[in-house]
Amino acid sequence: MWLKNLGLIGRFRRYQRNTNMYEAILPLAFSLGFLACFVSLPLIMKKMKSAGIVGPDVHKRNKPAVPEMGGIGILVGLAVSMVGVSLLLREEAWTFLCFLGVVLATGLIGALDDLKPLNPIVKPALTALTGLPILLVDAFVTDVYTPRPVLPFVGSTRLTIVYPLMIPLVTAVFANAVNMMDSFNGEMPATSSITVLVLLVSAVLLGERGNAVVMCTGLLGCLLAFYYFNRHPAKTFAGDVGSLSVGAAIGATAIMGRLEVVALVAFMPQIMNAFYGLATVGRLYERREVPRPTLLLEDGRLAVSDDTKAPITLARMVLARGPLYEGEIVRVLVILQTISAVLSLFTLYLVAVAP
Amino acid sequence: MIRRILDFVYVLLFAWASMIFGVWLIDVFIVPIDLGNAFLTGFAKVTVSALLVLVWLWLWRDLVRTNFWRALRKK
Repeated sequence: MWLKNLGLIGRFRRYQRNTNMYEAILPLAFSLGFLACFVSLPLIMKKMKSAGIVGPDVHKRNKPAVPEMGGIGILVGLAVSMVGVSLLLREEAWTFLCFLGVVLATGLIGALDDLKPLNPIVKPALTALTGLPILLVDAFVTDVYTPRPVLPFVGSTRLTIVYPLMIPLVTAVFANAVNMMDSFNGEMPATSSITVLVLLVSAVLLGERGNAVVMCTGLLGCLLAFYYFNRHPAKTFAGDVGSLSVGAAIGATAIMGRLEVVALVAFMPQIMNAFYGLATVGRLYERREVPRPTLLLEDGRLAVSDDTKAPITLARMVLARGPLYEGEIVRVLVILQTISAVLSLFTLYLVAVAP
Repeated sequence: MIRRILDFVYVLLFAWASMIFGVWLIDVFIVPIDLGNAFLTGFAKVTVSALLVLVWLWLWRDLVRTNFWRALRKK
């Protein structure tokens, strides 16, 4: 109402008419997400600290207590960004609210897991349910996905029966893969930002994916603001509430923006990390119930554990050639994510030239 | 540092190239399969594609395991 009183909505609509719709929306989606996350995080951190929701930073010698569940800031940022965009783009509002529904539902599961760890089978099963808003909105309100993923060489495929069944699987895989790769300070927001940036570039280059561009822009704003607080030495941890939500947001963007293959390739480090872990342990596992893959040395560096029962994670593979400081490990993982991003852009080319 | 990154790049390139090659194989050899009966044809396509994916995952896992334990032994 106060926006209307100030005449901002009318002014923005006139501006929109004179420019490309998305050119006008993008800076708004980014800045709303960034500012809401940046402003809310100190308050959330304070609240978590006073409530005793803190966890030890196990990769530091003095094991400082760091406020958990900072990922709520990402949810706040994304909610403000998507609601703001929906108010201005009424005809696309359902798409953005559906995306937000997926993220908030996943955030709720993450929060439950942060407060009381869920069973390693129940957690992925619950995250699969977070794909439901996409299916429901598509079935009863408006089309939010196209069951025709475009594959390299093959071109557009028709998967009208299989595709809806795959949606819960995609949100669950993406959410849990990001969750499994949130071990070091700054790792999750840095690697996820690269993936989101690639999806953003891909959506712009392929065209006709304006909604995905807006979602990526909003998410990128939140991730960059969160990175400021999560980078080494971390002032807050994302918790499952943050990492699961970010993964689900990336999965939902891939589905709703028809960027499935590009997202899969850009996401390969996360998939590799999850796949190696599952292949080593041989079942779904909770990280607290398996031996730690890394050891903290006297000089503050991290070394690989030679326990055969510990999962082979990406970090453990990085450390196989010798100990490193936490920041150096994150740097290697960011480089790996960037290489994966380049491969996904090459895949994008193959998708674009497919028949 | 470069050795550590290269260790991953080999695996990443293998996984990516074999995935693209797999899509091409499916498009050229599996999609045209026709056994006369629609159900049998569909079943054969899904089975062969699933086997291909399983072989891909098995190769990928073994490559990583071998690389990891070899690097650890060297250290």
